[in-house]
Amino acid sequence: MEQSERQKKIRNFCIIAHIDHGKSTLADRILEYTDTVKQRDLEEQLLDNMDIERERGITIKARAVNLEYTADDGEKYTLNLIDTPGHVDFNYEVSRSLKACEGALLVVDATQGIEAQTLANTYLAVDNDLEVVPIINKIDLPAADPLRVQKEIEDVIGIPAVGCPAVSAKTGLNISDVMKKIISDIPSPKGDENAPLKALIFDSYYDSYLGVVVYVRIVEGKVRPHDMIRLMNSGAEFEVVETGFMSPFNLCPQEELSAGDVGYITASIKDISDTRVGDTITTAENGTSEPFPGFKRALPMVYSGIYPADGSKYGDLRDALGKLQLNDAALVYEPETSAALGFGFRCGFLGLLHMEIIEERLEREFNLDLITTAPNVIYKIVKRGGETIMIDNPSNYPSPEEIEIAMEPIVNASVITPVEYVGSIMELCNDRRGVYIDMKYIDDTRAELHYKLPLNEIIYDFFDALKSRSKGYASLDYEMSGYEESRLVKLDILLNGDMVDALSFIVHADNAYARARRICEKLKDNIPRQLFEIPIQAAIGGKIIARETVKAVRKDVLAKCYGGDITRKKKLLEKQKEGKKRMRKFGSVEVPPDAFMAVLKMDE
Amino acid sequence: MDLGIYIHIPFCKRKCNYCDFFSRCDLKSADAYTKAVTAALFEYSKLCKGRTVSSVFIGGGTPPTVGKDNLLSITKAVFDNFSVDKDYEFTVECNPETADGDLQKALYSSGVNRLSFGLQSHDDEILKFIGRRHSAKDFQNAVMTAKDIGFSHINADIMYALPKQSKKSLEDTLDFALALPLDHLSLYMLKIEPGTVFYKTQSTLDLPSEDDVCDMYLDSIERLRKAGFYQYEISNFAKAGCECRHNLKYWRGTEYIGIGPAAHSYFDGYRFSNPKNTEEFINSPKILPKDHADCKKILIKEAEEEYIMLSLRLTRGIDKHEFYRRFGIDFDEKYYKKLEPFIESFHAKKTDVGYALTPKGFLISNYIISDIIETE
Repeated sequence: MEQSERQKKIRNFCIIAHIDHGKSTLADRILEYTDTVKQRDLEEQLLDNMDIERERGITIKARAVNLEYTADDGEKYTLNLIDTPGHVDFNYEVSRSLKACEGALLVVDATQGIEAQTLANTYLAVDNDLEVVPIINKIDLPAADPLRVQKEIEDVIGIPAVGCPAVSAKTGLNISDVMKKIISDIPSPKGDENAPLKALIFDSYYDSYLGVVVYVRIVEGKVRPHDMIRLMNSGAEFEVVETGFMSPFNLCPQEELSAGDVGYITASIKDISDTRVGDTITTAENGTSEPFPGFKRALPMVYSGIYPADGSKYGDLRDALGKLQLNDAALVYEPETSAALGFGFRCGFLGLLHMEIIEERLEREFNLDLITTAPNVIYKIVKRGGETIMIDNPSNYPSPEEIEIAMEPIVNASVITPVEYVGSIMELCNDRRGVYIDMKYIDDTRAELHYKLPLNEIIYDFFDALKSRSKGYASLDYEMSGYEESRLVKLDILLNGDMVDALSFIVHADNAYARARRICEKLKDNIPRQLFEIPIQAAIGGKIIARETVKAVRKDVLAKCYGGDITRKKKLLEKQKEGKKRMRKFGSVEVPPDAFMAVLKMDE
Repeated sequence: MDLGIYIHIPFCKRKCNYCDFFSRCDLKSADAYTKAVTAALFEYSKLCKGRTVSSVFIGGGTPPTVGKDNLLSITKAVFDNFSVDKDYEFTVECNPETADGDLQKALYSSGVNRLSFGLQSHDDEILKFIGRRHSAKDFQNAVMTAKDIGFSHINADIMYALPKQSKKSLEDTLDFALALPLDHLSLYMLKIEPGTVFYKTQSTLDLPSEDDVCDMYLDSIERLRKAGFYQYEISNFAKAGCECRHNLKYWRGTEYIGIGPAAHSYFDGYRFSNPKNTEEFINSPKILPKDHADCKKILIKEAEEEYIMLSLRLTRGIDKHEFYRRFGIDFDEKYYKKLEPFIESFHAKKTDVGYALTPKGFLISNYIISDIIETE
């Protein structure tokens, strides 16, 4: 197919990297280099718009930016840089972002080498026919070993890396090499500008004035204001209000977007769930008949109950979740009621990181005090009589006699680790009911382990345990492989004889006793002494399998108030009062919100 | 109006291992400090026209460390500048080893009528371990000297929950003290505070268990009662009529002014305190409530909380009629529901006039009070 002159001057690319390998810093340098952003305007890691992203140094949502670049020969190019999320929770979003590009810069840390997500994302890029341009970063660090990393890229990934740019995104060293590579190695886009419109949605966000702003890659055809468009998967139709390019600070309206362009469309869309990432946009009439393959709704993998610590804030929590969902179609929630915690929501997340981010945003941006129950995966139960149900809340788990087959989700996990930690990590995987598949040596120093692991074993603290066993060096990637039969039991917790539904959870039968004991101990440490002795019990069905006791308070007194210093006593009592206010009352037992989190952190 | 004066002497020869009160071991500025105190007394006296001083307490620190002459000029300044009630109480805190007969005599002649000695324990090994520089014998001598000079009001401070202290050891300490001519005992639970020697070494300390500490407290209350010392406050015991009036001012919402660094005042409806800085006090003593950085007007709502919090430290407890007179609120209507569970569990009880905590309740008074009071 003929390429237009315009298309020849376009490069659409993304940057892929493992967390901390310097993806966002490199993006900043490219922005700076192309004068898209003056240095003084540049907040560290500009592409990450959210505070949490900036603090955690990770990208949660894809962001795209349009850059003008004048090459050394004086030719002007349009570069579209699409930043991709770097966490396994967001793999689907990564895959859609890649579809909008012709090439990917693969950033590898010169001190760390290839990590699990580097591999996963590179394979994803290769599968999407992207030209992968390796870049070795952090060469300013004393421990940098660019030659070893270069060899690793060639040996492990199998892409040529000789002569690849070796840069320091931090100091700006050799960024011009990167720019040259983008122009020389990344193919310019193709696509018939006169064919029916075919555009891929790779991101969207809600703006209170414009409605949903949809980020698209135009693959074929053109789109301009007043066109009637149709979202092929959702079937929704809209009249385009505006089309344009994304600059780092604002949207720049353009008369039209045509094949090869990366840009945005607004169409007074009110509901972000109409604009799912991966969907195809075409014209309402005479549109393309072939949507992009592979569209799927990002499905929540992890569920947890979120409750306001102060019951009267239920309405605020509902509004806050609604606002977050405007920008995050992957977040699902529905009201639920807990006998213990009152009114709240059962929320579904892509993974644990996604869950933490949502919690943090609720607390920070909406100033809410939350009680979060232990996260759980979705279990599949075949009941006697053949009915299959999905359980996203332990409270709904059927009693043992109703269950024919219980199944839990299993993932294929890949761990890359320095070889000296292999033993310890295998032990960890075995502890978590992992099934060994194989192990490959990446080079003399590092190995890649493959395990089948139950998802519910890795959602709590697997990642932390992995990091602590490998001094931070091991990395993890996983993908769902399906459901497998498992011996599961529901563990209930009783305080002072009353079951606290919010503390119930599902566990593999073999681990039930150990977990039960640990949870009872944890709760004992987290529930302050009260007027009466409080028995803490863990039970399966009606059978108590573990017990601890919180002794009655005997001593809590300020014996001396010297020289009339009663302000100190007053402050102490006020603090104590505040602490009590935060507690939840179950029968006669008061439980601080932290106790609910205790169940999460069992393996300390 | 009734007024109490507290004068802080922020000097010690050596700080005890458990002590977190404000004191320094550098005695160089003792004279300058004394001048600042007398000057402050003079300034305060101008604000206190119309008030009658019924109690004075010189504490520390170790007051005798400033020397006899300095102490006497302070006591003199009190009598010279203030209108002092005929039936006053004037206490000076002394350590057994620093209060010889000469000093005691001089204090007695200057108008001091009550002495408070720190005994802490009768066991010399424990005394040494907690950083005291006297023996049980020194204490005995000091008390007998005081008695001979004519002091009829003598207090001993005793501590429990000390490292290496057994229940038996505490019983022996009480018996030792009860055999002496005392009319008041303060029984303080050791609390390990930040900034003390014990705080740093606490993991190595051989401390009695929580249950033992509670038993020590409850058993001591019984033991003292049998010996004619009645508990009137969480940590204070006295023969009938010999309660420390100055101490009671703190719990009854009576006015007191505090002179010296770290000293607290409740005056004219304000609570305030001096900074913990001796030099600052010497150079620019602050007098007016509003000159103090932490000055706070106690409004009616807060006064109500204070009343509950402070009254519940006393065996006399809350007086519903007094409560109604002061706040116009029916105590039962507003608070009984919250107090009820504690009455049922014998941590609190009804009295003729209202409610009080029991000894078992005193031990968890923070827990109880924080349940009862309301905060915004």
